[in-house]
Amino acid sequence: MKRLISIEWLKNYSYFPVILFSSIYFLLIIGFTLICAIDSIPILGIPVKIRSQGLLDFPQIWNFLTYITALLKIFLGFIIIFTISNEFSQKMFKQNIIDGLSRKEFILSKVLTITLLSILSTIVVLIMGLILGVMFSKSIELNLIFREFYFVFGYFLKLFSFLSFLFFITVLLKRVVFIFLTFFIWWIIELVLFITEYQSKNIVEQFDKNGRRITQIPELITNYLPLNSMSSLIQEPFQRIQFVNRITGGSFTFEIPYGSILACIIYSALFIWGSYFLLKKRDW
Amino acid sequence: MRTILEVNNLSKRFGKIQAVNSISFKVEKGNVYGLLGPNGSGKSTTLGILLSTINPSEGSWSWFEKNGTTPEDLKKIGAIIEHPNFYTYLSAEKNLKIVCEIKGASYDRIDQVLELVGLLERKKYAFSTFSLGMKQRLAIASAMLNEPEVLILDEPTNGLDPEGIIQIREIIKKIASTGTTIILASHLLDEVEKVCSHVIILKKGVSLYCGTVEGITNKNGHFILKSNDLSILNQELRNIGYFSDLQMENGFLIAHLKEDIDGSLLNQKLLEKGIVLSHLSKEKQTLENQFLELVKQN
Repeated sequence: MKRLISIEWLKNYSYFPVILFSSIYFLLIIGFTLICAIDSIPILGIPVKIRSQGLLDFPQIWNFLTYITALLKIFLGFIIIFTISNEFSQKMFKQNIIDGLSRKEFILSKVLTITLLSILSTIVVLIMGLILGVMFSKSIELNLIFREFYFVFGYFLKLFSFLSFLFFITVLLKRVVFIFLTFFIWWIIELVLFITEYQSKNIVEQFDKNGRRITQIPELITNYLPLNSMSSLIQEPFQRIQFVNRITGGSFTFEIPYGSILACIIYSALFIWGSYFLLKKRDW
Repeated sequence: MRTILEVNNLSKRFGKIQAVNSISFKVEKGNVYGLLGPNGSGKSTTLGILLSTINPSEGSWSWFEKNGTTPEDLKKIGAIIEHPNFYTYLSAEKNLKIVCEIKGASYDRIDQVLELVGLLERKKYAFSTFSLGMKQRLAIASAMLNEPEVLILDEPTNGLDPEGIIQIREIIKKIASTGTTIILASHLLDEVEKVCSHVIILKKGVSLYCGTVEGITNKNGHFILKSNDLSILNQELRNIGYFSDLQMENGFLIAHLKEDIDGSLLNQKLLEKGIVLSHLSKEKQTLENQFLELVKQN
């Protein structure tokens, strides 16, 4: 394990795309959370008050921070895409095999990289969350801090399964251009399937006398497509703002999405196994 | 003598193309083998299979008397395939560190192998700044990191200038003199003749010959003979039956041997028949002639 990590470290630590995208990624995450500390942020001339809307209170700060920072995960994705496609375009995978690295070890070294990147990012978000929360939360009680701690785990799983997905399409397609194209098309297809299924259910919006939405949304199969299950790991946090609730008539209840967690774990396993299968099956 | 590699009826089919067709050969410790064949004769595919980068269609092989190729075998093999493959953005030293980690070799070896190929002073330079000859030498250095039992070189002088070619050959000879078994794939016959003790000849995926270079150059050597009456000489040589073919050329008789015999034996036989030779010389075939003949026949 230590050997595989040092191989990955030697390969990547001075590779330009790694330095570029990891700097962008971590600067954005840290920069963003610092901005949240500002009382009133003018966005397009409208003052946005994250603090006074309670998004930095425990426990919803976890929901908010992980949701926002997960939007930046594509930068970690770039690291995976560029480093792994480089292994193939420079024929380094073939050379590694000839030098005596087994296909299993190659896969394992990449899975370790994905895991470490996800852990690192989770730790950064965790630290930023604790700092912001301690500074700005209305109350700092242990049970509040840990009540929705699930989001930190959900964040890790979201990154891990997303990077595993990119790992698989990188091994499958090898060329950066095709990888981006396929990723984009895949994303559109999931979206279209989701909308089609949603519409086919003929869901009628219903509200109670207080203007609260009481529509029962049935389980949608398309919610369990890879990218959709990743995105449903972390609920959209803005419904937690009272002001937003009043407009949309929504209400928020915290639930751990066990179905999506399971789906993401299964998908990650499939993507990793699929990559191994491709490496084994192909001639290099 | 210990068998390093044994290949039995190895085949590989890419769709409709039969790249390797039931090849068998054996590599013994300490020898330098040339794997000869025209372009597209299946050399690289065969090496790819033996190095586990290509899946075979049929057949079996064993490294160090154990079936197949395991990563542990590969750590004892140093191999260079066509192009030197390295991380272009890393220095020579860092690239070799990665190989050390993979092969489980000590970092102390890095300076030793760079010294061997004359690249020690370039160790901090990025691979992308190297000339092709330097890249090829770095590849040899990398293959030597774990003091391999066998070194595989696939077209190591391809695309190099004459100076680069000589440097590579010198390095190969230096390595061979330490007793390392070498398998050298090439389509350059004089190169193989200069450095190899054994040859394996492939054509269209079939192996035509596997044995010593001498075996092939001697086997079909020829005598150049002259006597006062060439027609009687011709007649007698036909009767003796050592020869596959007799030709007249510029007043000399060229007698192609079926199997290797000594010049004195032939002279004695002819004397017994009352023929006195005015000229007798024996010439070995060049590997090139032999190779072309073998490839033509089959």
